[in-house]
Amino acid sequence: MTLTDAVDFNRAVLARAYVRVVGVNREISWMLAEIFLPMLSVTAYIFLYRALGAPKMYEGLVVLGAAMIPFWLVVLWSMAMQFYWEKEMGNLDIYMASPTNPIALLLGMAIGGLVMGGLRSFAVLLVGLGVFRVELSVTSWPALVVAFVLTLSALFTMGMAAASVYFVTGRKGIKINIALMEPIYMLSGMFFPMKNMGRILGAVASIVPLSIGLDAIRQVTLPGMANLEFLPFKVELAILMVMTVVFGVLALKLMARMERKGKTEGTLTEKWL
Amino acid sequence: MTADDTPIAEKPAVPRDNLARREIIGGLRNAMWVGWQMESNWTKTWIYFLYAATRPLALCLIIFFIFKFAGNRPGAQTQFLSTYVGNAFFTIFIAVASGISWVVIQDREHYRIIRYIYATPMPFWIYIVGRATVVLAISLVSLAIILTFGNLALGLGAPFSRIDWAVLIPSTVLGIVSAASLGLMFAGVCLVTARHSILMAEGAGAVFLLTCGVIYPLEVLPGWAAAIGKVLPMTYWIELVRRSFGGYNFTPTLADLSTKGTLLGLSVLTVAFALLAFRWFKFAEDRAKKTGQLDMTTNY
Amino acid sequence: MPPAILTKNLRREFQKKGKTKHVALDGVDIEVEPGEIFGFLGPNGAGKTTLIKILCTLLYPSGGEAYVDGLDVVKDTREVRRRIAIVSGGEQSGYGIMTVFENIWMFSQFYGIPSKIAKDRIWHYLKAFGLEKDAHTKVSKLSTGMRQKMNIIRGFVTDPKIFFLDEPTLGLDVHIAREVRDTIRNWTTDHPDKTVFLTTHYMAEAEALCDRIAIIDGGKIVECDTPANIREKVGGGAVYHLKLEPVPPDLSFLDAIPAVRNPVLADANEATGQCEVRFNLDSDDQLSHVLQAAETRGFRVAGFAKAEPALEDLFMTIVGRKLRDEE
Repeated sequence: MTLTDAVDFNRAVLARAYVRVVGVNREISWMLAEIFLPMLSVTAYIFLYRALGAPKMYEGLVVLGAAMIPFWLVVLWSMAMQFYWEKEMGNLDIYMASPTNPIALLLGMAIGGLVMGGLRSFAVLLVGLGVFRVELSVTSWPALVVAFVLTLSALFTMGMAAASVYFVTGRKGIKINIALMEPIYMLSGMFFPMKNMGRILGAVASIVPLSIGLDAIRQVTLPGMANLEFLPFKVELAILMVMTVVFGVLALKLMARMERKGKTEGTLTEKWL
Repeated sequence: MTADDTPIAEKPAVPRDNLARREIIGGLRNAMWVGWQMESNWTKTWIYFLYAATRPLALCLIIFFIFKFAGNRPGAQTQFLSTYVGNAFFTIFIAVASGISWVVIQDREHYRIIRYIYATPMPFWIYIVGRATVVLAISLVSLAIILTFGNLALGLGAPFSRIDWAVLIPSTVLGIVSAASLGLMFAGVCLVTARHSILMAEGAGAVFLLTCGVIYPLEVLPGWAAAIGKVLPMTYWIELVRRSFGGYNFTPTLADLSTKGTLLGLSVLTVAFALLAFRWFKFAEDRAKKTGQLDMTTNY
Repeated sequence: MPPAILTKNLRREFQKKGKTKHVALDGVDIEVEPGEIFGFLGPNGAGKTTLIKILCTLLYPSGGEAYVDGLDVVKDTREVRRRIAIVSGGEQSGYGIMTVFENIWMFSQFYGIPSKIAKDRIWHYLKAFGLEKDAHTKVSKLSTGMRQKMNIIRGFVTDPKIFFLDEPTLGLDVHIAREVRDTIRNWTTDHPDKTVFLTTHYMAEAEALCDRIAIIDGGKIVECDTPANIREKVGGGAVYHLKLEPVPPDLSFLDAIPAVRNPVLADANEATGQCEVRFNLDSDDQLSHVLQAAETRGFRVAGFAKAEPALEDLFMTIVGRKLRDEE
């Protein structure tokens, strides 16, 4: 990639992100839809633990899980599925006929989505700490930042790989994405420690970066996680790093391959597939 | 004047009532067919039903793992049954409520046919009900899968032979009507807001999850939240569903109510909910027409 | 300088599982010179959009070759994309919640145009299209015509060497369609090195705009030339419109007059009992034979007009003749 290519890439990322950020600010009702209301279901699981007479630390598990889920939703809705929406709207033709790299578009969407996801995550933490008085105690801020950044990179590269599927499919892809929502909530251990699923299911769940990432983040923020961790913190970081590279390479390869396949089969811009 | 001399305008070909009924039935049938095609014609039927069961099944597994993690105390098995059943039936509630509002977003923003649907003589609400019926049918199949899976794999302990159908069926019918009413309210919101309002339906479902004692007794909630739960039909539906599965005394404050009394309360609340939903939907529809939002596209 | 567009024996087939093969393009050869406005005409389903998709790198051909500005559309995808813009008629692209200006700006950034330059160009074209005051209007509030103007500005702003317009005036009213055509023409006048490749099924549009026209039917090019030459080739001569009553069952009464070509029975009206018969004649001298033949068969000539053949008539003649040949 030349310097000019890098500048153009950057321009495309910022332009697509701008649209998303400005767009959500134009429709303030999204705050209610995406921040306030989803927080209520998190609250419900905290009350479930209370009904079960569980230790206070378990509420912290829920809050952290809920604070990370918005980033999964960004990947699912704002990246993986976005090409589907763009295709249906007639934008994908124009995107693909432009010289920009589709990865730049996806990154732009993701960055825009991060603003939304980040706000929702922040709101969950605020309610968790302020209203439910959960106790979080960060043992190492650098470790937390590294775990968070690696989780996001692994998630985003996975989202890019998933997005390429829409060059060759339509509803089939979106249905699979939708079908993955709650199963990922379950597999990621959003409301309980991943270890609780057992080794086999835990290993299956490890394919999702959110599961390993969340477990790592819990280890450095929740006192009492010592016996509940799925894998040692450093191993989890290493897995996330490998995932980022693997999904990144996969995304690049899939993006090119699916574009070729879409152009051969004529599905690249075909609506209502 | 003979019969043949009667001016054409005075001689309706079909009695008015019959025509209306035929229109309603035809409209419902067509909407159901469209709904089924939109939902499922991307794959084989059996794969579709597996797909449809995946999400609710995952939600039930979350409950299972939470109990495995933190439910190690006496009486936990009965509590698990009540929570699992409550959660399983809640998936119908969410499917119907969000499915109805999804119709507006899907037809407006995606297929862009909402203006043509509105331009037909069939009232839009009939179309919505037809589409919702498909969602309901699918979620009922999912429910059967979830309960069977719970019994076979998770040790739920709720065999179908022990279900009190006389309580389950009427309460579920009323529960579905209240879910559809809620869906109609969300559909109204979707008519006058942007695409993301679809998330509102799922998000607002959380209000019901939180306040209706779906997965825990109302007593766990702060007083004001429990008070909200007590005026929502969902609370009584889930309570009756639990009783039909043998899960009595889950919520102590409702335990004193007789089953008949609870059914009556659910009926009254459902009717009130339905009336409110219709009023609100008509209001939103009028507003969308006034402001030109009926067929807008709002992606960003 | 390489041709702006060159295709050699270009083929594209579509086949879905369990369905018969559909040939959308069947050996298409075209060559468009830089600076030309080239019209691509054909009925619905003739293969126009398929060709544009291939040339715009959105679809692979099944066979043959296609070059844009000398670059292979299959191998040099990115470079081709730097040189082109595409705007389709009736498209709903863009984000309803964003303003006109924001939408155009966003797309310009995908072409690597520095923001300042892009913004200047956007204002320039917004003024040229009379959309200046709507620059900050949300796209969802625009009429169809305004939205299409925005789309065309989106294409202009990226300063393409070759501008692909796929039925650009589809669904527009006469006034807006004319405005769009004028702007395209002005753009090519101001930038004589730019090429426009226009697909349409509006004959008048092709005639008003294009230097050359190719007519496609059933995936094959059936004619390619200037509008004037096509007229000449197809048999030229004026088109005669004869109003007859009653409506003849067929046009066999014209068979005996060899000078009459391409007779068509049109606008038969059962209520008035009248119809119009259109045909080509090389000269007015032959007309008396036609009138005589009609009167001999008992038809009254209720009206008569003569016109230069419109491209629409030529199109009907070409496509009609081809279909008959196939039979």
